[in-house]
Amino acid sequence: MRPFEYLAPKDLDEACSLLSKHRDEAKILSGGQSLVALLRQRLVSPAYVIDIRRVPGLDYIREDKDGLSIGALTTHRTVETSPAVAKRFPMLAEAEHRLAHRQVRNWGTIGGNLSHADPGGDLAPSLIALGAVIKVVSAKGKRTVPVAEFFTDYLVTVLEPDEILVEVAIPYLKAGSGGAYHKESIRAGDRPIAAVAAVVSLDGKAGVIKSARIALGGVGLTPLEAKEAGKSLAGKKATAGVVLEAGAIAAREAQPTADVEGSVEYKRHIVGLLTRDMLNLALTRAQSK
Amino acid sequence: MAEYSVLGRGVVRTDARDKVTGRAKYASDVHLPGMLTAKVLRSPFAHARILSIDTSRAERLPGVKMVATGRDIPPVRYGKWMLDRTALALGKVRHIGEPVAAVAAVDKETAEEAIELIRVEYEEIPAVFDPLEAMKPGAPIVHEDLDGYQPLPPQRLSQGNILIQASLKHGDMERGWREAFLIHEDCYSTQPVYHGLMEPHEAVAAVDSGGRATVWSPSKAPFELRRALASIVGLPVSQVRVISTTGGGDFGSRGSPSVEPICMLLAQRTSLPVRMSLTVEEEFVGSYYREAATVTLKVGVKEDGTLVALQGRIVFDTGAYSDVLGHIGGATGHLAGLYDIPNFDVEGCVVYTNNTPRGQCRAPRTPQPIFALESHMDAVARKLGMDPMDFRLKNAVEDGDNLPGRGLLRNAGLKQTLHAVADYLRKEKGASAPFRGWGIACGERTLTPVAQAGPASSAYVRVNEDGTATLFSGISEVGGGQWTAMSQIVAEVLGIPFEHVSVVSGDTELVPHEGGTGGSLTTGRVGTSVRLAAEDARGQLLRLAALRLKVREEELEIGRGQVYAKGTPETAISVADLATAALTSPGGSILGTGRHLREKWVASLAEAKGMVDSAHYCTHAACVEVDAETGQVRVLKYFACHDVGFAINPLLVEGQIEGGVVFGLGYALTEEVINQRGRVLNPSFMDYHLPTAPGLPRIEYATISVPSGLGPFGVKGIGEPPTVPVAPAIANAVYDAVGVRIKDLPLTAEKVLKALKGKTLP
Repeated sequence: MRPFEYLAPKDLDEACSLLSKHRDEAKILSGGQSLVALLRQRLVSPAYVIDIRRVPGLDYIREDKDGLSIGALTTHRTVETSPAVAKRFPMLAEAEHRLAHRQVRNWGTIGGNLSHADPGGDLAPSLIALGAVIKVVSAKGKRTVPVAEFFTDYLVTVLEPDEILVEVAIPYLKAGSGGAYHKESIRAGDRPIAAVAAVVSLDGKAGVIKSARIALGGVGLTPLEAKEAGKSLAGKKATAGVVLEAGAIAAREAQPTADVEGSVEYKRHIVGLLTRDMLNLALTRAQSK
Repeated sequence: MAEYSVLGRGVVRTDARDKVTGRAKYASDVHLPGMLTAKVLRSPFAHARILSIDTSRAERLPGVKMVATGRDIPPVRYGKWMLDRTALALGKVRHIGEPVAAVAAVDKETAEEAIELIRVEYEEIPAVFDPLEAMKPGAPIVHEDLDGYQPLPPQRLSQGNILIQASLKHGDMERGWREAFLIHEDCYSTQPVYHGLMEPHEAVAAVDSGGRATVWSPSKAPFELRRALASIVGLPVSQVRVISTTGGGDFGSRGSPSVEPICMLLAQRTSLPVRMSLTVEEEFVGSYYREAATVTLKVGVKEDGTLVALQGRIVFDTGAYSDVLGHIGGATGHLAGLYDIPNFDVEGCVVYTNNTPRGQCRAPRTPQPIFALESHMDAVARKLGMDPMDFRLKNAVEDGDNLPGRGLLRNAGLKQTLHAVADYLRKEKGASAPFRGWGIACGERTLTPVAQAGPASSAYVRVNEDGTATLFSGISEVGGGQWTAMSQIVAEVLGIPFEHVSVVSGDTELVPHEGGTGGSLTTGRVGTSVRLAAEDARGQLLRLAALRLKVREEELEIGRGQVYAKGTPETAISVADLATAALTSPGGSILGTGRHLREKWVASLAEAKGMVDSAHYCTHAACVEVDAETGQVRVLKYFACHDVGFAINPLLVEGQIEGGVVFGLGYALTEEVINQRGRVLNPSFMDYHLPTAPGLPRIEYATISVPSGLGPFGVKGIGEPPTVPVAPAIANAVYDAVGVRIKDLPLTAEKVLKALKGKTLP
């Protein structure tokens, strides 16, 4: 770790002004679970570390009219154990439950997790499949970005150097919808061999899939949406055959690289299996709603 | 069995409280005024000549006190078995990560910055990474000067990178093959694995104005380290003091010099204390770990399951330096250690490559041949249509068997462990289920020749005026509960409560000489000298008490801190009073000494000749479930049965069995230091997959007690054996579950899935 100057703004305005002053030379610290590892390995060497843990008003889970809003400083553990999350988005609680280990979840925040854009991160696939958006602010103003468009490259997001992620907003699922997430990993809490989130909406009683979104983790430079796989399901009756086919498409859409978690072929194979299983689970949940 | 008051009880370990409350002192807790931090520059090439090193920019950096290269230090070679390495590379580098230059600076950040300012010009030369390639004529030579090294192994055949070739022969192979009804041949390979230390290697060195050096290090062999360091820096041994700090994990990693030589050389030159510690990433390239092996086996068996012949070959990759050299003899012996095989021909060799160095790791050289042997025996039994348990019971060694290269077996408990596992399986196995299977495997570790002298061990026991005792011993508490077991021995012999014994250990200035902790031999070997020292002190107490009570010594008893004449406890004198009285008695204070070479315990050397004892036999059983779609292997149940001779502390035995099985499960399923052309691809705990608690089964165990004729109170040892048979037990269970035999470790999901493809599933 190289020496840096530690700054602890008292509110969001001060944080934004510090960030607009130091821009690329600064990094935001919240739970530290991604940043400190990067600092230690000297993969980043900022001149300034802006600790936003004392910034008020960023730690909340709020049930709004159209959706659930989660503040950037909310820890993974809080999301994992939140009754509101369990009620509205059980798949998100499941994703959090599999994220690293409890010690990490007690410290790590959802803002830090998403900002660091680890392609194997556990939150992004579910948020993409759920159509969530990210709210960011800077000294200049605020903007909203769909999670599906938030990640641009390996560990890179659309965030400008002076912007801070402040909230994730997830629209409620309509009746007849359901979602599921699972990651296959070598050990519990590891980075994924592959992870799949699936959300489906059924058309009334007919058992026809109105729409489906499938997102993948750990099999590309960023978390990514398997758009073709999702599209392949729209308007189709939910049979074992179409689900299997969607899995095959998702496996092709994955862009894995070989590493210690597995070979390219193996990761694609797992994407296919998980897509099938998560679609089936999402369909069961959709039918029960 | 004798009645004991302290032995055989699961007393709480002496170091538990300090470790749990954070009071235990590790090397990183040593802080000295003016202390510098050392860092090394490591080679980016697997094999290269060093053409020039420019340290001038690093030297000019403010805060840098010393920059050293191989030319600035004495050209002294060192090594565990053969002296083949220098603290900093001299002339060429032989592996990625080899230290090329070292910096001592006022703090870590400055040292790290200085390292980046050193410019080294290399000329890359052809490298070799596959040991089988390295054995071929014309392969790049890792050590050109090998034949000038000391001491050269006797079996050295001057063949390039082949460091040593050993063979073990017995009987008549032709006859064996003639008698065989079935011959089965196969090849197995195992991967390099890391110890998984919670505390990476670290040391602090300080040199006083008279040139006397002190080194703090979590060494498990402080006297060996003292000797090595003295030779490296050119001091008499008495001018080097090693203080062994609490070890944050050993598993074989703390027996050879690591960061200490560089630390001490820099302290000598700067006249300031120097700390050096490895990062986890450096652990994977700058230390050593378990060697990979290739084992080929050809086994002949009669129709009734009687083994008649075994031919085998073991190749160990030692990497760039020779720390695996001493492993080969024992490894060939392991192939003859479990079953009575009349005709036997095994060859083994250790080969240099440009891989990162390999060396000792929990049960060095044992899991590799045992994985091959026990997988192979399972395959042979199944080919014959025999139950693997019956097959093993038929061939397992027992007392009176003559083990090739080792000797006549006595006090062996292998069959008893097999029977215990058979009982367990009868109860637990139940109906078969798809994708579920059971596997068994046997293991062993060390056999001790009864008539062999040494290594020497020594201890003092002092009885204090308050009736407590202090044990002075050179053993290190490496985490296995060594101090606890030794304290129990002292308490038992002196008849005082366990809590009244304290241990002074690990400081070469304060304690008598000791060989070191390891080989699952500590309780047996060191326990003997500790017992002798305690008995000596006890004798002194009894002599004094006899004078005072005016009875003969033989009529005295000792217990609960009191000495009294048999049958008349009301006449008792306390140990405290005796120890106090001793201070003004003609004989002086109570101080027992215990020194021993093994023959002390042998009634007749002639009778003992050729005999081996204290075998660490065990049998394990595993139940697995294989996910046929992902290939993932889940361990559902695990049972380990060990012959421990006598469990001085059953709680510690349980800890070693559980920990050892987990160690073995990592080896079996997920752990591998992945090397690609000499580069380690996964040097972190994120990418190196040590087992974690959520993925583990409940581990059940049982112990068998066939007392050793050597160890005190019959103890045999338990530190390493539990890790030995795990991988073959799992591999055999996977075969039982889905009918595929994985012959190279680890059994990753991907490997299992690949094997399953094209296979008709049950």
